[in-house]
Amino acid sequence: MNSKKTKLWRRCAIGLAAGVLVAGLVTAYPNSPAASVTILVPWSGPELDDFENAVVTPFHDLTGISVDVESTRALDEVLAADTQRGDAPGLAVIQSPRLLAYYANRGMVQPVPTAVAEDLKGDDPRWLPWLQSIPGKQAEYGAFVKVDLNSLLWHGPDTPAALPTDWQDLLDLGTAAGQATPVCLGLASPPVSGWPGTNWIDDVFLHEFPSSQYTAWANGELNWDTSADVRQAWSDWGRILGGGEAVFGGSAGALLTSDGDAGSGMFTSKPGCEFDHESSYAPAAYIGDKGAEPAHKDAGTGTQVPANFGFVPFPAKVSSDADVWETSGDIAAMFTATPAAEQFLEFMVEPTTQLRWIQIPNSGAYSLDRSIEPGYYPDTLSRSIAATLQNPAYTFCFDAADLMPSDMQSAFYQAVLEYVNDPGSGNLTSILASLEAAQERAYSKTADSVTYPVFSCH
Amino acid sequence: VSAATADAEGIDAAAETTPLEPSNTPALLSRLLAALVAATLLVGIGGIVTYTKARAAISHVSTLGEPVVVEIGAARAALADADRLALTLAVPGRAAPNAGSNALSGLGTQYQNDIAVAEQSLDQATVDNVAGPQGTQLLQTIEGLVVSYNAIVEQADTAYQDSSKTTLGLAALWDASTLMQSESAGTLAELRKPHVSSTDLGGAASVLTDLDALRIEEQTALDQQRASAWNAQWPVAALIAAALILAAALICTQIQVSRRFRRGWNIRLLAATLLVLLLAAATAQVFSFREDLSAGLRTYTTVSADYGAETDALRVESQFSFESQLCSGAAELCTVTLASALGDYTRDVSSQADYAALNQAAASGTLPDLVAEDQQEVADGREAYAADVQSANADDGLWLAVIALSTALAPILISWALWSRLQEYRYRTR
Repeated sequence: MNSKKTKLWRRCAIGLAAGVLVAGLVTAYPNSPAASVTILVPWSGPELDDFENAVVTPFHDLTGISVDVESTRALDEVLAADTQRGDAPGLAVIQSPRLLAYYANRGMVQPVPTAVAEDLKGDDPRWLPWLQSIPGKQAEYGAFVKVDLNSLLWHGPDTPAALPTDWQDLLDLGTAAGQATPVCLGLASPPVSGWPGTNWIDDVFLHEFPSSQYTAWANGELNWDTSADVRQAWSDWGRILGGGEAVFGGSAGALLTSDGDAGSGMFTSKPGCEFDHESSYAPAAYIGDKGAEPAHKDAGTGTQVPANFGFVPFPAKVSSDADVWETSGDIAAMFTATPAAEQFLEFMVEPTTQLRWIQIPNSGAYSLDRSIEPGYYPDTLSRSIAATLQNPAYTFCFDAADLMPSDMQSAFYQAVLEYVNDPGSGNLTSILASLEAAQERAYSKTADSVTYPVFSCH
Repeated sequence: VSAATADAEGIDAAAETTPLEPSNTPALLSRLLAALVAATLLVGIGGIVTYTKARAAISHVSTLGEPVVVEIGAARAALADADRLALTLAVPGRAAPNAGSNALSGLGTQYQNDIAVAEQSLDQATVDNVAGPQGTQLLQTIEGLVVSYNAIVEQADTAYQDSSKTTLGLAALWDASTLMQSESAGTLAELRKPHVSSTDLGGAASVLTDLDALRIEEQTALDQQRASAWNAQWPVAALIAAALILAAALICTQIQVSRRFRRGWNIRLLAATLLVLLLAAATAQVFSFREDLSAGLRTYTTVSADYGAETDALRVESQFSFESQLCSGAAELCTVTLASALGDYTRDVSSQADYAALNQAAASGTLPDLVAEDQQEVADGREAYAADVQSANADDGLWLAVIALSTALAPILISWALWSRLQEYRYRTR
């Protein structure tokens, strides 16, 4: 009897244990987060797709680490808000060496990890000083993941003969144009409308005056209202535009057309304009323009068909300045150092990734890695641009607007719009006076407490 | 005669049918007792756990999402209206170029109110965000873009007050409105693909498409949380099924015991069966609460989807009106360089015909305040939703008490019923 009782209770106990086990299973929800890294990028559309295909997906396939790509047009604002909240992304791609210096000096950006620093030794050394953000320190605080060549005048299929070949040709465009409108210009790019005009003024300044003067201007050392060189660069640009008359659609056309659509006028059956001042990214911008044929492989024969558009270098006033080029680039910087962020940064800059990226047709991506020779690029236009970027005889100067404080940059953009609306001499005086006032505010000691490096041409 | 004696007599009567066979009934009976008690405890404890979890999930869902999607809708409607009003700066007679530097702003108080409503709604949406860091990022981008938008509209307003700068004003308005409205092909489509790992936080899209994207992000996050809350309820269904199987097993036991011992219905076993059925019914109440909440959510989703529809329709008219101004001075551009931008900009041309009436209303300052009307509709929807939520959360603990009581009493009754049968074999084992 006792043994039966014992058995009975044992069974009850087993039953209860089973019940507790089931109840435990019902209430338990396992959750194990995987490694991931967030990267904030300014790219969108095809540029973003190329980044995902060439970099993000292969990285995820190789490491299993998830990359959360956050693309925003208002990157600087989002980054500022994130860092203020103490919630910075792992990595961010910024386009201004000055902004990089700001974050580096505030301790918000980490120097690149040793493996990336080693990799940067294989890059073109002329670009590295723009990454050395803290004066007196040799460390790089970011890495160029792709770069642009800016000093290019692009032409459509029917207009190469009309291109200016020397400085005087360029200056005379506006006056010699007559009824024609040779210049394609689009300044609309909200919320940063006006920036394509600043690139024009940068190039005019750079190819009219010595590069040392250009860097003095970019570093805030020239007065906008009293420097004869600054005024000359503006008024020469106004002359090239023929006071707006040489621009397709006139001043209103320039103000209302977006930067990406400016080149469309070159590809119409009767071209509305003859050349477009754009960076090396232009072929990607022209995709989709009716009449534009980017380089491609013929579907039938498999042979490479070149693009039906091309470019010439920006003319220079004196021949020695023809070897000077305006450039810009996308810098990946690490805001929150994690193993995943370090791994992804290293992956972005390693030669195999860079090669995969630049070989996407019409991606507009150019690498600084010296092992990626021009022959690796997919078509004649990109090979020619790559050869220019790798030519040791050339000097590169960074986009001046990207070296200015953000308030100065905004004032510069707005000034371009004001000037194109009214390119008269009286208006220029008033614009330059307000730019000088903006410069005094933006560079004042109280604007921020950071000691910036002096940015030079290399 | 005691009950035990009567039971013993019953056993003897049963034993007479198989006098030479040793009985295996006690062993079977004891196993059956153990199994029934264990199963009842299992179902009862499981019932308490799953009911509590399912209730918590319903309460959680009822606190989610009610505000955030609507705050986004409110911001969207207010911004669409603000842009509609800003574009009327270009309407002749609305903000006539005035050489005087003391000219009053062409932007009325309704525009300023719209921007204020949008900013407040976005702030509130940040507090109520359920889409995690991606939602926060999108909200920050949108807030940044709204500030930029407002600055550009103010530039346009200033430019329109100087007769030499009307083109600059038109360009600024075009910039502002493009920033607000243009839908870049592909960007939004990408965002709508659920498998896309990256989130395009703005890219080439506009404030309104970013807001649409944000609403989708938030709605997806809400749906996921709801789905996860509803998934937490499958054990409830399993528990009810288990309770019904247990009740069936108790009825079988009732029949077998009745036959074997040649007795009538065992009241204790019957009571235990009823308690198990009561436990199942109490657990099933979760579904009733859930249905109340689902009905509320359906009402609410409908109201949120309607938010700003009228504003959007009039906004399209104002876009068309603005385009007419834009292209009147630059017809060549409108067919070449602006063509793709205009295609992006005017997504819906169905209500373009009334733009002349809109121009007239804008010039005479009689534009209707649509945002206020929308807000009233949404307020009504909110009230209906709140009533459903209250009903879904109206749980005073009675049902849980019933489950707990059944869990405690049913095993006792089962043991009592079968133990007394087992006792009848005490003397037969000698």
